[in-house]
Amino acid sequence: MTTADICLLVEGGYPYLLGGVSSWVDSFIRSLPHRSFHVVAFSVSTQPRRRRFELPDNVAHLTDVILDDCPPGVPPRRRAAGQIDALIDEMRRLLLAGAGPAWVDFVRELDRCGLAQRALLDSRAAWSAFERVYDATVPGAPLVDFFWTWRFLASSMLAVASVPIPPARIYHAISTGYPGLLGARAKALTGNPFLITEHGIYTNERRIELSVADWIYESPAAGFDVTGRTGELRGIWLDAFNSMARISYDCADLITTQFRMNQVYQLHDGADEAKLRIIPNGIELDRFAAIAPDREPRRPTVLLVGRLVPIKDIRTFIQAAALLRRRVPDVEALIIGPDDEDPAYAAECRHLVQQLELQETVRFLGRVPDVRAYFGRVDVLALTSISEAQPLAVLEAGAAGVPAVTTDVGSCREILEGPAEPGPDGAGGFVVDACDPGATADALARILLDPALRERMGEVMRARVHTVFDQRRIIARYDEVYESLSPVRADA
Amino acid sequence: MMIENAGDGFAGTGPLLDRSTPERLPVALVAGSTVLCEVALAFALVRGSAPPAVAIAVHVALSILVGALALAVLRRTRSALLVHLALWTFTAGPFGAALAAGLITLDLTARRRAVDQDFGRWLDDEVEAREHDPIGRLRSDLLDGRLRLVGDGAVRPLRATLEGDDRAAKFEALARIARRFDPSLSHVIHAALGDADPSVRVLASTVLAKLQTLHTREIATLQAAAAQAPASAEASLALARARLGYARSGLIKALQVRTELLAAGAAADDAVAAAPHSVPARALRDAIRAAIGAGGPAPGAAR
Repeated sequence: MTTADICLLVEGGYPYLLGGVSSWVDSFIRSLPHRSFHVVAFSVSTQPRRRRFELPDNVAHLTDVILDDCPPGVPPRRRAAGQIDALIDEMRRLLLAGAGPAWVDFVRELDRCGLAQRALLDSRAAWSAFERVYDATVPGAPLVDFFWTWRFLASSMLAVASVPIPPARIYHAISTGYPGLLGARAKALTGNPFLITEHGIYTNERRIELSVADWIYESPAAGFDVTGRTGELRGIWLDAFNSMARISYDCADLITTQFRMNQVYQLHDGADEAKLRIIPNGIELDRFAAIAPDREPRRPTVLLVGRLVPIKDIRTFIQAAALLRRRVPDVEALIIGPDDEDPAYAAECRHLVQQLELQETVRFLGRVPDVRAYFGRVDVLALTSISEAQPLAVLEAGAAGVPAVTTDVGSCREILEGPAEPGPDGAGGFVVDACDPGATADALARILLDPALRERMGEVMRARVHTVFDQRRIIARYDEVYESLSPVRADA
Repeated sequence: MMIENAGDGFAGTGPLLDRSTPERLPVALVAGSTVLCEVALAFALVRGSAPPAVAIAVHVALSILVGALALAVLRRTRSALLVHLALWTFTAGPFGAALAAGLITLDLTARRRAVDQDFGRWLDDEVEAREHDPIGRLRSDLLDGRLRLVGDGAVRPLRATLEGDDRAAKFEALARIARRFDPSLSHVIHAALGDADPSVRVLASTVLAKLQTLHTREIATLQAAAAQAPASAEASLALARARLGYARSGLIKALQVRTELLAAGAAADDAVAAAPHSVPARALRDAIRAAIGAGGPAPGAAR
């Protein structure tokens, strides 16, 4: 296997799932044609692995790490109970309160002894050790639930600790979590530099997922008392993901993210401030700057670009359209985005349109060949997402001079209002609270009913995107980061 | 319509009925007539035109008549207004009848005022009032599990948690609500939507979306069942109850509340059409109509 310039470590997306981060990864690799990549995709065995992206020519290898498919490892020796006991105890400490140095010691020990599933999960000694872990961790929790929690966390940790490390000059994880663990291990065993780029903060995203997860058992005994420890098994999952973040941050040479608020969370999760950098998303300005506004008479038009999934909160957009129609009766609301990821949610959205009698107002256009064709024909972009990092749709529309109304998520406020607060050039749109159709409709109406304001905001957006989010400059910054980490060039 | 949670009462029709009071006029009429009769009887007794035995007999007969009417109304609408009238009249004659009639007038006036208000504003005011009035707080405390025999003082109100700086506690509060949601806790989610910490806002939005989705998925399932069995009153009734539950969940804004109420009313109409003599179906339909009557125009009419 040839040594790649960059080993890109990606969890749960590229090249198998569509989405913001997957699109970013694809565009990122294509933007660096002079560097070769080895992509490592982390997934679970139940996730379909049909490629949704054609791999760019500079991807030399693609390796799958299946988190719930731990390698068997060497069989345990007869008198290995003590060693197994010690390793499992170390795994428990790593999962509940891990840190970089302990992880490095652990992976070196595993690398030396070659033990994995057979010894550390399936052996009699492993069962005895598991019982002790249970008594020491959550003695009151249901044993079966704890068993499966432990089984997944331990086997995924072992999978990451056992997978062959792809040869590469730099290891670049696109999150903490499992990619971060592998990056930390690669750095420890190869000595090569390790970089983290976080779009959304991994611990925040996992915490949110776990908070609404139905599959985790939770005793009702605590009622609504939230002053104590997080409920049992959920607490273990949270501790594990926090540990992974801490290990990743400890071992990384540099940590980049797109906007300042993310850095606050990274510091909170234990990142060293000296390692933190901001590199925003970039877009190809040339592709969007040339889009001229269509001056033909048409209905006032609002555009939403996003998958029909709950996180985009399309329901709020539809309700906002209903309220907006009271003030702008001939308004048209377009929704561009695939609807096959959550068909039930997509059906609910269509039903809501019927229920609110909006068939003449809201149109679902599905996946379109080129979204640019619409930017010249709309007056304002809407984004009602309940979670985002730095949405490309807002940047792309902005580059074409389309103002936006967005929820106050991710870096939307920074994009619309500038890095500090609206400067003399003003804002490129309005930021509203999430899940608030009334506020969304009000903001959209202000822009639709005031052509001068619309024009001004569009120009502000265009100028800001061209100044801050030019992909050529962003890619150059990543190139600089790679250069600073490794003096060895790909073509050297 | 009351936005206050009826808990498991969503599944039945009982708690809704005392809000509907379709017989406002007859109740007032009966109360007024009773007062007049009692006053006339008292005058007749004082003037000597009616002997005491006759006056007592007429008084008892009148009380029994009002009592019978009260029971009939109680059975149909669960309104206890006339029961008060009967008891007060029997106990204190004209004075009791006048007192009960006064209370009835006050009650009916208050209801009318609420009905006359703009739907959305009234709804918001109602929610706001319920969150902060002592009964709303007590109910919230009970549902929070903060009122216990032991250690009750140790549990912090969820709303207060949202007002503090402990990010982990805020996450935990929202996680608990996501798992054991009750409409009276919706104000905590709405407060979290405005939190200064973006990650708390994101979780609040996620919890809200998840809870909404639970309702909409249930409605979709029941809707499919009702479509498959258009002659089934039970299927339409279940759909009407689910829609009413969503409307009263505190999870959606006024526009969608009204839309859900209209859809609930249509489902209840279907249930009554399928089973014209079904008491639960008719009662639910009447309750939903009364709730809709408190609102403004239908969404389609707003264009």
